[in-house]
Amino acid sequence: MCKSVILCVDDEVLVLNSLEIELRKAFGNDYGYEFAESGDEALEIIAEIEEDGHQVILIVSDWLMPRMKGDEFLKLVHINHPNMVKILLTGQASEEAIEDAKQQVNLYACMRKPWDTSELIDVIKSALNK
Amino acid sequence: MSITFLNRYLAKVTAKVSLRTVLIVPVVLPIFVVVGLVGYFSWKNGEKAVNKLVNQLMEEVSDRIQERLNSYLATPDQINKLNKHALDLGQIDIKDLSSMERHFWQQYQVYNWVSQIQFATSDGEFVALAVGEDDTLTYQVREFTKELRIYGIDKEGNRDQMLKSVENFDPRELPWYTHAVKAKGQPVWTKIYPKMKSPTLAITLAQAYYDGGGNLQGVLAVDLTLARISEFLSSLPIAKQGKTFILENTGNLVSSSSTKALFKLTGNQAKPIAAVDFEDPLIKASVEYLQAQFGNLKEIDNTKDLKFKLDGQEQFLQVLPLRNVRGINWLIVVVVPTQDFRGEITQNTRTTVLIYIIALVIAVAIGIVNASWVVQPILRLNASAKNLAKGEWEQRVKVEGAAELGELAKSFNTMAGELQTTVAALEKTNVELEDKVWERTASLTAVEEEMVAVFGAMTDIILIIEVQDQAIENVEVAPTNPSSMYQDYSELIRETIQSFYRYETALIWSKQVWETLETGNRVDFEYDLCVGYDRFWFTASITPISDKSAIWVARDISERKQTEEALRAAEENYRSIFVNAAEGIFQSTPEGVYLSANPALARMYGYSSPEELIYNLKSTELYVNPKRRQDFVTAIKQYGTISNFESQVYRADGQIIWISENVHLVHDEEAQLLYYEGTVENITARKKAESALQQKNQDLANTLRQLRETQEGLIQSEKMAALGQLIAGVAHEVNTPLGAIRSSVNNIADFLEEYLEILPEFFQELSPQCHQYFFALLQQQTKQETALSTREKRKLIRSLKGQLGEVGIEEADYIASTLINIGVYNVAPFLPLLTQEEKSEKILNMAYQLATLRSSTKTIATAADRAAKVVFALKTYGRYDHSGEKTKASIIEGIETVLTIYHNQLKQGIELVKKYGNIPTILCYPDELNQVWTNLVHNAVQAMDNQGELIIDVHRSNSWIEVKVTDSGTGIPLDIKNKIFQPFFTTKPPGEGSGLGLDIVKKIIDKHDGKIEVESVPGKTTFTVLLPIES
Repeated sequence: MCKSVILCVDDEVLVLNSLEIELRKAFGNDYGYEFAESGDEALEIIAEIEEDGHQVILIVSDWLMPRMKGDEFLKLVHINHPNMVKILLTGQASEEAIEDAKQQVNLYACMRKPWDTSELIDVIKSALNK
Repeated sequence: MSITFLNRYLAKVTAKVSLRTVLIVPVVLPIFVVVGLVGYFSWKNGEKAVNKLVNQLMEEVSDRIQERLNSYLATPDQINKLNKHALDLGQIDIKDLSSMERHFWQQYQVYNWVSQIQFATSDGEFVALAVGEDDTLTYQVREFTKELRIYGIDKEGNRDQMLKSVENFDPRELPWYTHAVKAKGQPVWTKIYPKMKSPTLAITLAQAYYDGGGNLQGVLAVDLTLARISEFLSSLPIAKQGKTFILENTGNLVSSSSTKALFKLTGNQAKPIAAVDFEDPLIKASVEYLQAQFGNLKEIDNTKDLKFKLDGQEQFLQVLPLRNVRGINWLIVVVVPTQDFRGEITQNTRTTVLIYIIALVIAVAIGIVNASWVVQPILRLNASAKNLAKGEWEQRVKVEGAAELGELAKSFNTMAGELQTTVAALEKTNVELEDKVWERTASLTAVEEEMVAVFGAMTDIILIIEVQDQAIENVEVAPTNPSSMYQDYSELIRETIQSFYRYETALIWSKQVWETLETGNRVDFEYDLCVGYDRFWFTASITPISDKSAIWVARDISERKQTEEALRAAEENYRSIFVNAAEGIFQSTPEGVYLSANPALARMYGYSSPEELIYNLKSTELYVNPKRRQDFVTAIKQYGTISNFESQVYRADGQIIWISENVHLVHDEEAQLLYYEGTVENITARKKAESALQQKNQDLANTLRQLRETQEGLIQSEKMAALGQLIAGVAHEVNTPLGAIRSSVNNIADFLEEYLEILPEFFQELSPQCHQYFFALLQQQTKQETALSTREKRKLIRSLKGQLGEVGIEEADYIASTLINIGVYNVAPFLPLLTQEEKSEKILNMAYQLATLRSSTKTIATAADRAAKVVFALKTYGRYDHSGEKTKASIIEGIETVLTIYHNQLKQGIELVKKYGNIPTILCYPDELNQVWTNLVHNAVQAMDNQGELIIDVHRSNSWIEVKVTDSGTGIPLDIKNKIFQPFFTTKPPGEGSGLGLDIVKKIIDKHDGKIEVESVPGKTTFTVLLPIES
């Protein structure tokens, strides 16, 4: 059985924990959820999930992260997964980088921290239903 | 010819050498030579005598040794022969060995220097009388058995108790036995061998014994120990350090007079020693010398007398071969240091030298005394003659010494007396002559002095002129003192008229002379004259003396003329100054009426001429401000003079100008005020320039103030720029925890809304079993304190999922992640719940909800802390102390604040190493120092391009706090290293840095009396800040 997975990337475990609670509450067992603390880890997870025969359908990524920034990470993902839904969730990002990401990786949305839970869930829902 | 030459040469030499030396040397020299020769010959003779003596001695010694050795070595032969005879005669029986024992014992009583007498039969039986080390005698017997038995001997020579036995003894294997058998009845010496069981060397003479039928019956043998030969050698009387020794021609030592061991001990076995390895240096050296001299010792076939040196000492050496048909080839060597015999010669030589020196001293002493007896009177005569030559006529010589010298002294004295008389008469005549000349000169001088005094008192020039036939014939100049005119007037005296009157002036003067002579009246006139480069004025009067001569008296009036000239010139100058001065000059009455004014003043005040000014202007009407005139009058009355009195005045055309006046009062002799006198300067232009300058100054001051404000602003804006760059990071730093908080709060709120009400119902529905499961689940979470990383969590979920899959639970991964979130890592206790209970899903969900509740609160707490820390750091960073005074603050806290703000930037790939030492708080401007740390950290992060290692090292260094910020960036290029502290220097693109950063850092450090230095190589750049602890 192929399962759709939502992947969250943030260098703060606090944020990941919060996202997990929110996603589980909103979507329960409808999707699988994976969490990564860096772009590198996220890329590994994507590879693993695909090996297991599942697929990542949506990524929620922070922008300001050590080593690999969110937009760079999404660019890398975009090369092989142009149809994956990509959402930035960031406390701070340069406007340039966001504009850049929107164009280059087909960014679905850019959310600001602190985020509103229902708003985030709505964005994700709308992205998945389209 | 040669004699003449010799004489001349001697004369030449003796002329240089003192008489004393000439007298002494011939006496001393022969003595010196004779004594030296005698000493030398006596020493030589002594030497010869010694050589002879030594040779004799050595010969004697070696003869004795040879003789003794021959007799010593002959003994064994004699004993063997005796025993052979005894055997032949049947006195002793081969079959009865015990009979031999006593026979041998008796022989030993006669030949007590042998060490063993023995006989071995061809059957291997053996009997011997052996002498032990301590001269104890034993019988050594092998009979019937193969063991050698050793018995003591009583006083009568009978066998006593057995002392010892040796297993497996066979005499036929011994070298002396085999040698003897080979020699077929001839006596034969063995090689020198170590004696069994005693550390001595021995030599054995053996002789095989045959019966009448020529059958070998046994071997007779006698041992000699070499120790005995050595004892003999050392007993020989030979010079103190002399040595005698015997060696085999193979080079091994047989014996020596030295006490050193003759053999090497290997275990209990003695081995012969090569003489060159012997310990005694003299013996060793002797053998080495012999080997060097003859190559092989076997070459020495007769007695040799030799000499060689050891450590610089000469040694006599005699070597004598000892030959014996029975196989002995030995060399007897006697060696004696010549020093032993030279002792006496040396003593004799010393005595000779002593006598030699004494004789020399006496001879020299006699020579000196003798010489001085001869020389002394001559020296005295010489001294007197020298004094006489100097004019000391009283010199006489004491008449003494040898007869010839006495004569000489007398003649000398007579001559001196005559000389004295003659000189006295000459001196007297001379004095008389001198007196006469003196008188004459004095009278002449008196007359001349009178004349000179008369003329010398006059300053006029006096000429006496004579005329003849219409021409001035002669001019005589009196020696007066016209000081100003001629340096040396005497050059004029007796000048002819032609040379005295020159050029056409001469015509005028000669006219005057003629006039005087014709009229007979005195003529007075003035004239000028150039002498050298100077011009002189004279007033002259010519007075006739007769009708053909006149006297001309001229006085130098140049000085008066010059003064008059100078006065006239000065007046002209002042006039010119007055007329041409750029300043106005005036005189005016106190009432303001101008008495005089110069053209400059007229021009200044706008009048065409001074006259017009004087006519039209009163100085009271001059001033724009009438009070100025009042001030002027008051001031000048008070001080008598006034200077730089600046006022505005009207010109004739009504124009206003600025003037500056310098005025003083002029009084008459009775101190009555006459007028004011002063100068006026037009300073309108200067005034204008001054006010322009003032305006410029004002402008400059304003500009400076603006610049300062700008600088302040720049510093502030740099601070804000740094802050601005941080804001990005800080926003993230704050928003991240805020996001987590918001989400968590949402979650809690949701829970309260959704689950609080249904909670009691939920509990009621649970079976007691499920109750237990539920609370067990809740307890799991409390156990999990540490937060899991995503990797860890994923791993746990995977393993759990596997376990759940195994027991056939559906949706294993979802349940697994739920369980992990609850905190269940070990699923075993809950498998019954999951597989058997209907409500497991509900229970699990409720436990999960409660778990999220707990983790949400934890998240809030953690996030709030984080946010608070950032805000605190920002607050600290932004603090601005307006008091402008230093406060006590911790440097490390300041650095930590900056690092907190930079935490976000640093965590992206920069490894931060902090090395904090123990440092005191210091008085400083903390907020400004924060700016320093911010700049340094910021620069470091940029230099490393966000990748690398940042080391912050803070420690105390004497009276300083040293802060080192080191980055692993590309480093500062050498060409800009000197510029980095300059304002507006930046390597960053426009907009990213004002270039004030390090300039401000430098300023702040300077303000703290600190220092900042930078060291940079690629990969390591260190900024070092030093701050004084006591400021």
